[in-house]
Amino acid sequence: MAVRTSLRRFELPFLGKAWIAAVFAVVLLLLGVALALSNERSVANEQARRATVQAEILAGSVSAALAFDDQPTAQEYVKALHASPEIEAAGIYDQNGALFAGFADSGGPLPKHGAPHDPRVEKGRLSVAVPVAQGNLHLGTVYVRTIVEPWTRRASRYVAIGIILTLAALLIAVLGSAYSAASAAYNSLQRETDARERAETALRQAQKMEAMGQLTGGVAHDFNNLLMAASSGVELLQRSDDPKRRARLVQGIKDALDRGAKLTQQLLTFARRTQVKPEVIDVGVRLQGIRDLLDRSLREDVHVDFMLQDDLWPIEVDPAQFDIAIVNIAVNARDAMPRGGEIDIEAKNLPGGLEGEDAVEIRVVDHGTGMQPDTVEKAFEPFFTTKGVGRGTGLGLSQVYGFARAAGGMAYIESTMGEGTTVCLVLPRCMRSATQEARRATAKMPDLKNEKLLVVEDDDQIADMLQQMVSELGGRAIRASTAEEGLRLFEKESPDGIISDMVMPGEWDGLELVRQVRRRNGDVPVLLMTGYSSAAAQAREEGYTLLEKPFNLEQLARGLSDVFGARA
Amino acid sequence: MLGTRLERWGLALALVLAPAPAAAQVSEAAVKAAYLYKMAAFVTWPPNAFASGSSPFRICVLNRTDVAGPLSELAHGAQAWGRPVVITVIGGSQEASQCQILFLGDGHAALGDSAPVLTVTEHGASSPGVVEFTVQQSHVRFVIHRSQADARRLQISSKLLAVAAAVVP
Repeated sequence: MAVRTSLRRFELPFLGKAWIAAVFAVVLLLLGVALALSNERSVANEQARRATVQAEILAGSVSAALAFDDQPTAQEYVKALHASPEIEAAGIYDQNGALFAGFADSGGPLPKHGAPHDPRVEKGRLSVAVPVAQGNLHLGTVYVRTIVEPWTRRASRYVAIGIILTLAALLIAVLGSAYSAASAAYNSLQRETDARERAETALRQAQKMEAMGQLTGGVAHDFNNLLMAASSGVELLQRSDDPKRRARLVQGIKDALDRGAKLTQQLLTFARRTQVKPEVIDVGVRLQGIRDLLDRSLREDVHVDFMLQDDLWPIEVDPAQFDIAIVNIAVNARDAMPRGGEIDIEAKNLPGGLEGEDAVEIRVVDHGTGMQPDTVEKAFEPFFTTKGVGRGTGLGLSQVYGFARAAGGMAYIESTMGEGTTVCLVLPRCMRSATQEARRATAKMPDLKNEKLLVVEDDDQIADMLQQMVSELGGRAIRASTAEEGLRLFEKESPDGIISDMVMPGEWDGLELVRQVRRRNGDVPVLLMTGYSSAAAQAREEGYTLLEKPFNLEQLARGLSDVFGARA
Repeated sequence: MLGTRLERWGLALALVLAPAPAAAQVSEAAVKAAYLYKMAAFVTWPPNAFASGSSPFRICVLNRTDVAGPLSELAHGAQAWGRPVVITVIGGSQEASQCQILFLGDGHAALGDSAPVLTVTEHGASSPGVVEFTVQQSHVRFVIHRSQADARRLQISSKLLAVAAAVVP
């Protein structure tokens, strides 16, 4: 059934377009016939006109010769016509109608008697006779006979035109059907491409989940440690009165929470993105960013060492895919070292290293068991794994390979049994510089100058914290707990800027609120906060600045300086 | 093929030349009369050649009644340059300036050198006119004297010049 449906879908447009082409071809043929008929008529008229003109010219020039009985001169004149091939006979007759001079080449002799008559066609010959006159004197008649192109010859000419026309019509028909076939093929290709794209998206998601799964155990362990540190710190805080000790404990708790926040943020970043969206990144900054994640999530007996060259060239890749690739390689390296050890992550510039072009090389080196040569060969293949059931899906290194190829680079493995494995990524250098994020890190911390900020946040605790942070930075905060209330308050208090959560109860979310505000007051600074929201991408697309939760005072200050700076 | 064409061409020429002897049977005077009459159509006279708008087109014949006879027959009811053609037989010089065409025959007429009259003389006349008859191979032909025509402000059609036996500048 499904097959029949798809067949009909392919054939109907094909037949439809071929039909149009056929109609076009028939119209072309009819047009050709009409053209031939009109041409035929105009050719006949033209021939009659030409013969008449020839006769009139001869009549005009021969008048004196006829008047004064000069036969040789008349013969001279009439002979001039002999040169033109279509004239087969011409005669000059005196005023009594008697032949005076002339010739008949073929098609019978000249008429015995000459009298003027209009052009007429007889037996495939066109004849005309015009009077010869000078002033009032009627002097005689000039007769001219021409060959009309034989019917068969004309027909053969039209047949030739007809053949050309038919060929043209056929060509149109063929092209028409070829076009419709091609467009059908294109459509099916398009559908196939779409299907493949969906499959690839699914594969990327699967690869990501695989990597995340590999990390979860380690992260949970690490998180547990952080919680442990924080809760025991709080407990000790309650029992201690020594201000120095209390301060040290508070610092310890703060450090633990910071690490926890960082870890969650990295995991969220990791999970968030599914679309491939290349950005120009600094390899060093990016690798440092996942350092903690790797260090803590792999295993306690596995240590990650970074050896990064200074002034690494920027590369243009999808950052999330880059992170996943590094994590995948690191996870493989960890698994190759059952008794623990060191993983070296090295990055250096490779001038002319990628088919003559500049590139950046990233090597992940382990000192584990190594691989057999045939394992190395298959390592990049999807679903190839040496790990036991439930421990690996075989998608990890295939993601690494796919990522490197998509970025225009390459990936390869060097391995020696018993000594270890090196997975190497060579990615092309990008001539543009890295994105703002790296630069933004060095932006100076601003102070608010008593600006009034509208804080829209449904969670009372977070709202309270935010208000305190704003006043810490030197501003004043007013709070609304829903987007609708936020708009009312905005109109009443006309604050200098807005900090709003994205997801809130009520009809509007934060994005809709700031849209409404922007519609009323175009350039008011707006800072949106988000934990993990699918609306974040939309907000980013519309050009809003986003602050990812959890954030600290410094990050809030930076976000505010961004939006206030943009206005100034 | 070419041979056939040439044969036909020859046949056609023979056919064309056949009526020539018939023309020779007509008298020389009649031919000259016809020529005099037809010349009117190939010559343009200046406006002052006519006494008035209603003056006829006058063809005068001096001393040649054999020509005047057939000429009168030809000109009966005829028109030239929008005027009725009149044939006048003259004897003296007094009427010559009224003529548009004057056939002098062998005689003389007292006529100014610049009078707009197409003078026609026989071959060998002591002072030839604008047109001088001659006979070539038993055909009546004529010689045209351009200087005379110019002096009399007569415009001779190039068609007439083309069939002249000779044109004397």
